[in-house]
Amino acid sequence: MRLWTRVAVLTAILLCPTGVAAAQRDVPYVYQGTVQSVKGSAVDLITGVGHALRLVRLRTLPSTEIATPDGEAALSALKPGDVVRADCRKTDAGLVVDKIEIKRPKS
Amino acid sequence: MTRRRVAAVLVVACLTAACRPVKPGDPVRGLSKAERDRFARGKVVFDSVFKPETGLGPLFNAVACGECHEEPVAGGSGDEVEVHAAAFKGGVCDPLVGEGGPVVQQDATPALKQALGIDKEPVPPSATAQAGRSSPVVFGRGLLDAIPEAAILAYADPNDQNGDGISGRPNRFFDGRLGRFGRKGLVPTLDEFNAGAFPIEMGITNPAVRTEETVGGKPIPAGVDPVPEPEINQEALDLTNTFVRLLAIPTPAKHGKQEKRGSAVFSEIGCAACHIPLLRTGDNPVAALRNKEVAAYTDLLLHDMGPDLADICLGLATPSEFRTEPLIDLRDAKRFLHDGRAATPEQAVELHGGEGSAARDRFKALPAADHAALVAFLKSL
Repeated sequence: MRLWTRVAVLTAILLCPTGVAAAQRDVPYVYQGTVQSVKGSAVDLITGVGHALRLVRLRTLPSTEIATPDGEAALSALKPGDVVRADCRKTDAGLVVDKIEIKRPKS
Repeated sequence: MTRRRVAAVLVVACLTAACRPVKPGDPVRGLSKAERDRFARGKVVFDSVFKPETGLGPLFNAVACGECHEEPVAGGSGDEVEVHAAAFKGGVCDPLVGEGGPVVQQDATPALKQALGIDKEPVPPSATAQAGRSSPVVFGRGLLDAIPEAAILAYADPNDQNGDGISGRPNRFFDGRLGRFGRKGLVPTLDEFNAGAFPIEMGITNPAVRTEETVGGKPIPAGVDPVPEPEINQEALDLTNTFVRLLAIPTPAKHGKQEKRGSAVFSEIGCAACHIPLLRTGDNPVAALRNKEVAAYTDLLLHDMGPDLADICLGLATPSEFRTEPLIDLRDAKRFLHDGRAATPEQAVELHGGEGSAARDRFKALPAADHAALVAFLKSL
């Protein structure tokens, strides 16, 4: 019994800080907006509420998935003016994006 | 008094109340007591004057909603003309958010003046155009918010397939949703328009917009706006939304023979092709806004108004495209068109270009009596 208690406490000590740090690091954010620019791995997105517009800078990773209505694509498929949904995480290095879904433009 | 007579008196009283004209600033008819109460409380927030110590600024255009929307009552128009800027290059619109656009605030708090030595926001250096924007009435905006998207899109004819020279098309917000509010028809909903107006017009953050505007794209200096965000709470925002949502369209002045003729001429010469006289709301959580006819004289779509009126782009709207302006409470208006450049309704019509050219030319060619009738009709609204 005492052994199991020690193991449980040790496990909790070892796992807890990692879990907390991961939770702090990986706060999910979803943005929907229009691509303003794509420069290297940085994507600037126009979002906002009403006329209070905001520019959000996203950092893509090699693993960032780019989805179009026709299937997966490369980052180069992303163009200014595209309307997108971006699934992001806030990290110590800024906002990184895991997936960018390009919506088909509506007329 | 017999029961029958009492009933008759009540019926007459109800009919009299229903027939009483709706005045500017009145709420829509048929509200519950709770809704009327929130409307009254919302007006208090709408008229609230903000100061730096209650969150004003550091950049702003006005100190209260009611500063610009004041004539003849709260929710009406104003004589302020604000400055917007954007860049339109190669057919692509850049609202210059990174340089403080598209709304360029014209005043600053003493703390910001002291910190940066500026008394207003600088115009974005990359702007290809600036625009003046007058303050319109906000009467009837809740009804316009309640128009189903399908009803708006039914009037769209972007390629002018019916060949009538009118090719309305919808604007869309940056996330792709249909826009309908603002002179360029960018903003999808009334709540969003209001929530965005607090920070851009007064520098007041709120639960929907928790960050301040930048100063020309740069963060505001530390210490100049010490009030914690959000500077108003959800209840204040909700009450403001309720007040604006429930403002009715004032009843037009009584139409005599001349105004009735003017209404007919309005349709005959083609004004009604864009200024659709009647729209109908759909289902709505507020019973008083549900399935109502809305005499707003708009299709909420973008139309090309020609090079002389062109200013900035916004969203999908090119510099020369504007959303059809609702014709509401014109009889109290002092200035006309999106930047207030016209002093009379006649001037406003005569300044129409682009898709409005044909109707404008027919207006100019009208016999004197019909010309006067149309003007009398417009002034009755």
